[in-house]
Amino acid sequence: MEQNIHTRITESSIRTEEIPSLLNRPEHGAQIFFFGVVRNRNLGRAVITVSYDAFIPLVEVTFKQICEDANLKWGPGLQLVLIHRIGQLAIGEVSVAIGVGAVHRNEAFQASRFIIENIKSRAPIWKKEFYEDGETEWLDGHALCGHTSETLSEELS
Amino acid sequence: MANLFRIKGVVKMSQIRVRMFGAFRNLVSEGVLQVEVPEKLTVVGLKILLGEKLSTLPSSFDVTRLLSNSVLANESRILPNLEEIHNEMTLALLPPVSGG
Repeated sequence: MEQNIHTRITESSIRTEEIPSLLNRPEHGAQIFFFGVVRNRNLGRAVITVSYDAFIPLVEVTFKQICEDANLKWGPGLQLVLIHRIGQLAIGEVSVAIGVGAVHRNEAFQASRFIIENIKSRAPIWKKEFYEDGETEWLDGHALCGHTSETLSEELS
Repeated sequence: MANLFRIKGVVKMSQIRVRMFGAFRNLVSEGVLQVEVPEKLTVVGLKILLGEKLSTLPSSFDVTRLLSNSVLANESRILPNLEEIHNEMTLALLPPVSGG
């Protein structure tokens, strides 16, 4: 399963044009791409830049678990790409990129949605916004709870 | 790291490092807090100890509230509340996450 999963956390710009080449299975009839992009407003405040902090070793473990969970739920045989940016990002830059290759569109769409929602609730990554008025704020988020693949397996059984 | 294990009375103490992330990161120098802990201290015990230390520091947010919603982890997993802390461990204090 591992060779069908490509995960990365990077301080460099995400080259989205390279992602389709990572999904290259002839039996797959669907490819879905999701890009999270830094926007210029949040909760009515003008945002000028954002910064991502991460506990990288655990992010790497968690990304692989999320992808394996997606494959367990909508596979087998999904091909998955998950790349997250850290450090300072400008408005319009891609913060997260997800690619899913699957036999049919339904599992590709659902696995893509599953992966982004699980990144938001399980990956130890934090976003700080910098506002036009000079203030900054760490965004409220999801409390971690030690979700494991085993608990997902139990939920599915 | 040097072995800092020693005896204080009958209670063995050890030194651990706790890396800080998100809003906690800027509370301490270089985002790392050195903490002396007694033998067999559990994760929940360490959170209480961290609360005592962090709540004395100047901060723009409610440290106690954020700590209550945070977890401790090593490099491969989130630690359950009743797990014992071991000598020379390096842990990470993880507040609620907001990636994506």
